[in-house]
Amino acid sequence: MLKISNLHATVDGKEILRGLDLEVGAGEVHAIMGPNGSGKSTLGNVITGREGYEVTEGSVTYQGKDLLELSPEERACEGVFLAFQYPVEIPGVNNTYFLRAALNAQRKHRGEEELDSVAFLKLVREKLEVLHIGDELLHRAVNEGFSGGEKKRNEIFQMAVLEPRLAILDETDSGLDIDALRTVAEGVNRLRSPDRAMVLVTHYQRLLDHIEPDRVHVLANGRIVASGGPGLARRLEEEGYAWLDEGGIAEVAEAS
Amino acid sequence: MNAPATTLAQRIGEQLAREPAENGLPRWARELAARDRARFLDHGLPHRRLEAWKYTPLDARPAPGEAQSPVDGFDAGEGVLVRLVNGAPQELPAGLPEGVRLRTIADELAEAPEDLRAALESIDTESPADVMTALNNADLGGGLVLRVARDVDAGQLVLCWRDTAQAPALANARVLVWLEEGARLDLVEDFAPGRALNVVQQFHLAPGSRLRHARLQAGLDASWLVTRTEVSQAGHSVFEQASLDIGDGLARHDLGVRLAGSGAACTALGAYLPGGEAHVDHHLDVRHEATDCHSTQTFRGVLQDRGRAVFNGRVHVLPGADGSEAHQSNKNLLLSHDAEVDTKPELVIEADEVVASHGATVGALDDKAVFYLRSRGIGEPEARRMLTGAFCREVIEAIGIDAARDAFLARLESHLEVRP
Ligand SMILES: Nc1ncnc2c1ncn2[C@@H]1O[C@H](COP(=O)(O)OP(=O)(O)OP(=O)(O)O)[C@@H](O)[C@H]1O
Ligand SMILES: [Mg+2]
Repeated sequence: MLKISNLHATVDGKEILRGLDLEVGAGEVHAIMGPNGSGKSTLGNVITGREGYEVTEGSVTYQGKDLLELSPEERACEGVFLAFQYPVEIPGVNNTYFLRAALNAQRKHRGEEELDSVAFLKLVREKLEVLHIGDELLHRAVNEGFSGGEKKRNEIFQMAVLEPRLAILDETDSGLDIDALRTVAEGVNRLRSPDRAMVLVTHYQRLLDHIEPDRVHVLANGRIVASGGPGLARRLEEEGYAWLDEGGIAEVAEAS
Repeated sequence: MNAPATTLAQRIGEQLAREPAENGLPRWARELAARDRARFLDHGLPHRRLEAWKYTPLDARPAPGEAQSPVDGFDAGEGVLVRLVNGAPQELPAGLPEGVRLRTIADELAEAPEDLRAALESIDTESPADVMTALNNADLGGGLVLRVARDVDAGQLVLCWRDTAQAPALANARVLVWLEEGARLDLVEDFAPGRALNVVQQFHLAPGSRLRHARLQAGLDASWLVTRTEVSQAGHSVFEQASLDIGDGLARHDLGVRLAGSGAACTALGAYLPGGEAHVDHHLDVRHEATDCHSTQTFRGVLQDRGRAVFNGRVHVLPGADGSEAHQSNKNLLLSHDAEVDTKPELVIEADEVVASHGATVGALDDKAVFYLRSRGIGEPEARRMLTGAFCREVIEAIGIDAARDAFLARLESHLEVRP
């Protein structure tokens, strides 16, 4: 589904990603962990096409297409979704209005009929119910004045409505209370299917207690330096990243 | 034979000489008109050496266009509609509620009530900066007078201003409103000038009265709309003004408010979106003269193409106006390199225990927000439109007159469709 080869990317002329390789197959859930500043969010931004992130080498292929050729909105319409580490506040744009515009843009792209407001509200209510989210977020401006946890929930809610093929969750579990964490896990697990893939960027094992990943990767210094099974995440939680520097890559097989 | 007129000022001068407006007016009004005609001929149109007009020098503008206005206009709904063609009121509606009197200024002048005289003479026109008011006085006799009696709710009055091919080079009109104690009025104005229109308005709010004033300006290419609105507010009166400027021509709005009685409140909201060659200039002058008055001005500008905007907001809290509260905000989105905005908020506080805030910004759309919307599948033009609309909607949504708010929001939406 997603194949990243030898990806090099710069921000403001500074190289952040330095030869990153990653392959995520359909139906798989991968976790990416790694120290602060290692390039995890940068990877998400490059995959979604944010301006200012320049790819200098390598390729990103998604469902057989060159993803880097597409605009951010085309990528979204093709099913790529990023739950932002820091969701943006957009005063004056109603959350429901925004999400309907987004869904309809995607439906239009796929040649499907646009949803009128009645059909859309029905869909929205269903999603809110399964995620146990109250509907007060609907009436407010996008993320405006939302608490940290509410913003993260809103990202998951958007994901549930848009039903992406490839979802990247950038620290969506950070700063969440137990209930909100369940909401996130619920959102991911409900979306899990043989034709979708997910990448969870996280610093903590606790999200992975709810969502069993197929693969765990360690991103450091702009590259994937270790990969393994779910056991790798537990080991990182206990021991941190220092052991990786001491030639730990060889041990990874053991850890998984 | 006279040489043919070359400048607009000369054409206006000829126009004034051709149609002496003084006919049938009381003597004081004839004198006022004659004095101010001389002032206009002396000063000419406002020029850039006048501080108040330096960004909007009318003398240096291309002469106003000669387009005809579209006929359609604001749907008055249950309100009363008056059409003003080339600045002149057409048939006045019959059957107004008891306690509401609407007449032409010519009819009122014939009776020459003292308050009318005091009002007309109250604006000092000696300075060249006030020459557009002098010009308005010189052409006295056109316009409306509305009086609402004590505790009467006059409902909604819509003034629909339109020009035809017969419009003079520049038309003058006057609108005077008196609200007695506790009276209420919603005044909606729909301006779509094709040429040049110079309107002076004077609103008198007695204690406890409320005037809500919503103004749409959708002038045609190269048209001019010059308005001056002078409001005097007695104790606990409320004045709420909102304007939306989406025209293709020039608009200059002067708003002067005197908070003269304790507890009076005034709000001015505005959104302006000049694109193409359009030009919008707001000059505000709010004076807190009494204790415990509130004033708020919130203005949002979106500038595209070679659009030009000026915001000059002066709030003056005079000595003794203790307990005043004054807030002013002007934010602008500059969406083109060729557009320009000059903003100057000005707060002068000479009283005690005053709560005040003011701020002005000029910026671009938030890239992070644009990307957030695009990352969800919304195309870039649509994303920009959503953000631009949101920026202006904030003020339009605050309009208290329901019908005006809905109509203005719809106009804003369709304006953004055409000009993302
Ligand atoms: N716009 C930018 N301008 C300059 N430097 C940037 C920019 N964006 C990211 N960086 C730098 O790139 C590096 C990687 O940042 P990134 O946000 O990808 O890290 P991360 O792995 O997501 O970290 P965290 O775990 O703290 O979220 C950091 O050193 C960061 O300062
Ligand atoms: Mg990050």
